[in-house]
Amino acid sequence: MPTRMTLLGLFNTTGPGHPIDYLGPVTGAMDSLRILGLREQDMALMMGVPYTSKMLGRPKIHERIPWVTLIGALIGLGTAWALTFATQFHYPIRVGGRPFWGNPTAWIPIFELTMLGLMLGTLFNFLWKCAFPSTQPQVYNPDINHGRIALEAKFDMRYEDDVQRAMLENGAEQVYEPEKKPL
Amino acid sequence: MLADAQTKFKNLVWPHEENPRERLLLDPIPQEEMNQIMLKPMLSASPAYWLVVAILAAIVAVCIFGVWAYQIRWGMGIDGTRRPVGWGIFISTFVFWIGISHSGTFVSAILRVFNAEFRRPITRAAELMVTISLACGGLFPVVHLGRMWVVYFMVPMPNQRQLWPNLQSALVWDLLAITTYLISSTIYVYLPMIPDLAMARDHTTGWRHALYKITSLGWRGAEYEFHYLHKALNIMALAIIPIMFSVHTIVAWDFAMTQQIGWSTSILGPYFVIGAIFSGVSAVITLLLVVRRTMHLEYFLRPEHFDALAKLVLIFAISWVYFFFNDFFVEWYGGEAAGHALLSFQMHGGLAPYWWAMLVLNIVIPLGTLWSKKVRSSPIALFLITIGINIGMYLERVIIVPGFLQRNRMPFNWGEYTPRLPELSIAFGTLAFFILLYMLASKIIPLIPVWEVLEGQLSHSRRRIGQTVVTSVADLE
Amino acid sequence: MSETVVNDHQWKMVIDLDTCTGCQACVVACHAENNVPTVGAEEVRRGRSRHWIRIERYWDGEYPDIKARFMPVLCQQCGHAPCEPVCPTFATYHSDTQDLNVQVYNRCIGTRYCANNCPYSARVFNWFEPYFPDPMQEQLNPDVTVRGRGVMEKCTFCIQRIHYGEETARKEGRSMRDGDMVPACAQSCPTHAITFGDFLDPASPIHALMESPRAIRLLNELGTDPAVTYLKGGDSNVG
Repeated sequence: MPTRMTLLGLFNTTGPGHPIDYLGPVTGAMDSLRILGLREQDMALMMGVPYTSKMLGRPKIHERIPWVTLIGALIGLGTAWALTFATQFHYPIRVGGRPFWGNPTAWIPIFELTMLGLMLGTLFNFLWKCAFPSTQPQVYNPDINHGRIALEAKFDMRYEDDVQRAMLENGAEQVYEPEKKPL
Repeated sequence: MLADAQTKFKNLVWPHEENPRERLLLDPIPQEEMNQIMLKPMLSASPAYWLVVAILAAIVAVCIFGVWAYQIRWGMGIDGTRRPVGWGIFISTFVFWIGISHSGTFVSAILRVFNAEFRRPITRAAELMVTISLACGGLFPVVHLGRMWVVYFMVPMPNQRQLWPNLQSALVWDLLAITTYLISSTIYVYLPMIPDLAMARDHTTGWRHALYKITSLGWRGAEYEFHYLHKALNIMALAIIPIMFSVHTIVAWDFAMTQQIGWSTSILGPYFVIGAIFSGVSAVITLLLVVRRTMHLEYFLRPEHFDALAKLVLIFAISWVYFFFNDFFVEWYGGEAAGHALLSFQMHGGLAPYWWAMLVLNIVIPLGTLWSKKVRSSPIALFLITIGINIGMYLERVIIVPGFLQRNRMPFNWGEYTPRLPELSIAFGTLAFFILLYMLASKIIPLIPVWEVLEGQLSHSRRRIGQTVVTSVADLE
Repeated sequence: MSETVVNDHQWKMVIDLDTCTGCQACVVACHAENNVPTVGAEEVRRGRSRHWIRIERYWDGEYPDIKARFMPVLCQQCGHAPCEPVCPTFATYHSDTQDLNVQVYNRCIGTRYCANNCPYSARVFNWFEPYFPDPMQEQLNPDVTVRGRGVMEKCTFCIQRIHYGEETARKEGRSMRDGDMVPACAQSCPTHAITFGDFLDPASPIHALMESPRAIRLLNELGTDPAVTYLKGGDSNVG
């Protein structure tokens, strides 16, 4: 018997005088849920407009060093290093009376490939942090494109009525038990 | 409802300061209406559209690939290049397209770093230009090779010849820089597109739904997704700026690293970068004017955006003059005999018509007109001026590449270069190729970053200070 | 991989402009020796003449007191060649053994960057497939490759003759001497204006010529360190 369940509340962000920024209902609902004992990680938001955590009254997502970005840049640097210096060992060819290595020309491939590694690393860092691409069925409601914000709450089954009431009282348009579906 | 909105914004008065409400970020409409304005031109195509696509595709097939095949079969001799002019129209056009590709990065990355709010609706359309113009420009280094079938000799990879490319050659730097820029700009246009692709996924069916489902990677608009997206974009916007500068500097170094008179000057790198941004931002204006008209994006692309972009063009026209004069004046005052021969060849020799036309189109017209608010508010004037700037910048590249090569230090080896039909055909074909790719992309890719526009509208408000009402911007971070 | 270079030979050429008559015999000899095709009047007018060595003619003075000056220009085999570092594929590089600027046709992809960067415009591009009308192909030199279209080429100091001379010397159990080989242009010059020799051979006559007060090197101020020395005295030129 699962003791935990999920409810999804849909809140309209279009209110009188507020074309897109009517966040009162959803922040109010979250406050009520916090009083009921839900922790921050029990609540998730889905939205079509990038409201910041501050606007939503949520704690800031903890910032870490983007490790994958750094690793990508280092791989790029290593590749460039190998190309500019090691290949000259492999087959030394003299051009224009210049030294085989150690001249400023090496900086250009080093810069380019480091930046390439950094950009790819940033992409992979983003994909990794967001667990993309995800093909699993997920909780979702396409109404977030219609000026709605979706609040997904996970809690113990015993509180179902309380949570539902908390959401509705704060102005949720609809509260239902979501089904995981392919997007 | 949608039709109402469209007619309303079509009839916007261009000088907009009378009614500040008509500025985009102060004029929010419901999110779904915005989505529909964006999606409608994407999901439908008129017969005229398909007719233009078919004509462009035919031009691309014949003028680029047909002529190219002919050139591969018979050799580079069918073009006008000769001794001592080893590089002709192909390389000029290559530099031109790489220059255009600086548009999107500049508009999007630099303005993003500086939080310039007017950038929001125009970033996507400009970034898309980067990728497409790089694809067009990237053709030319291959097209102009005598033996294009061994172009992979330039790629650093282990091979049976046990030979690596020469990493001291500016052409290998070029390859590395353009590859880096192409990959980076593709990532940079793709990442902020994900929320819009997810929006399109929710609004479409059939093959489009399948396509957007894959490309939106399972985006749900969760709080943490937006957070990491912003973070990645912040890193990328900062990182892609030096990449952009390096790309055109290295393209300039293809010339500056030689001992050819006119080319071998240290100003050439920054001169090319400024010229690239100058022509790139102008091309953004031209393109946005067309997109606005044909795709009915009057809601998103407001007079205020064209006004701001035209001011940027004005700034870059001034900067370009500064670099041009640096380049010109030093050669004119000091300089060796060969340099003076080159200057007189430009000013009253064979290059004179192009040289003077370049000065008129790049200096006289923009500096003479764009200071005026009236001009900056007129779509037709902006369209003509920016087209003129890009013709002028193309002439600049023609003057610098095959033009300068016609003069050197040994007068016996001077030679006149006249472009011939095959190279002109391929150069013209890439213009059709660019338009074709952009037209096709505009039916698949949401050209306006709706979520960024919404974000911008969140942060703008109007408040009364004393006797007037002013616009204020909140700090979102 | 030592940074100090030990050359087997240092080939140098001295061209006496005071005895050059501009007769073009060297040009013809070079075409014959190195399988250089002729391209016809139309292509020459377009600037695609294929000579590896060409006679540059300059007018000196104003009519009627005017003189024609001739200067044979070929690849200067620079010690610090501008054409070499710009090649992306190492198709042209500096041979340490011969101290020559060599061109590897099979590596060339035809960027023409080297030609743009050659201050002497000495490099020649194969704009089309080479064509030798009948019966010209009967006299092709079997020691020299016929280059295909899209490849850069230039004067090699008749490297096939250098190799032939080296092999002959090795067969005879001695080291190569000056005079074992003469490039085609020097061989055919009726006024002996072209002298060719190994700088490392102390007996070579080029030493005296290179130290002549008449000696100049073409565009020497660019720092290319050319291997060709020109001799130009007072008004002793013919014509």
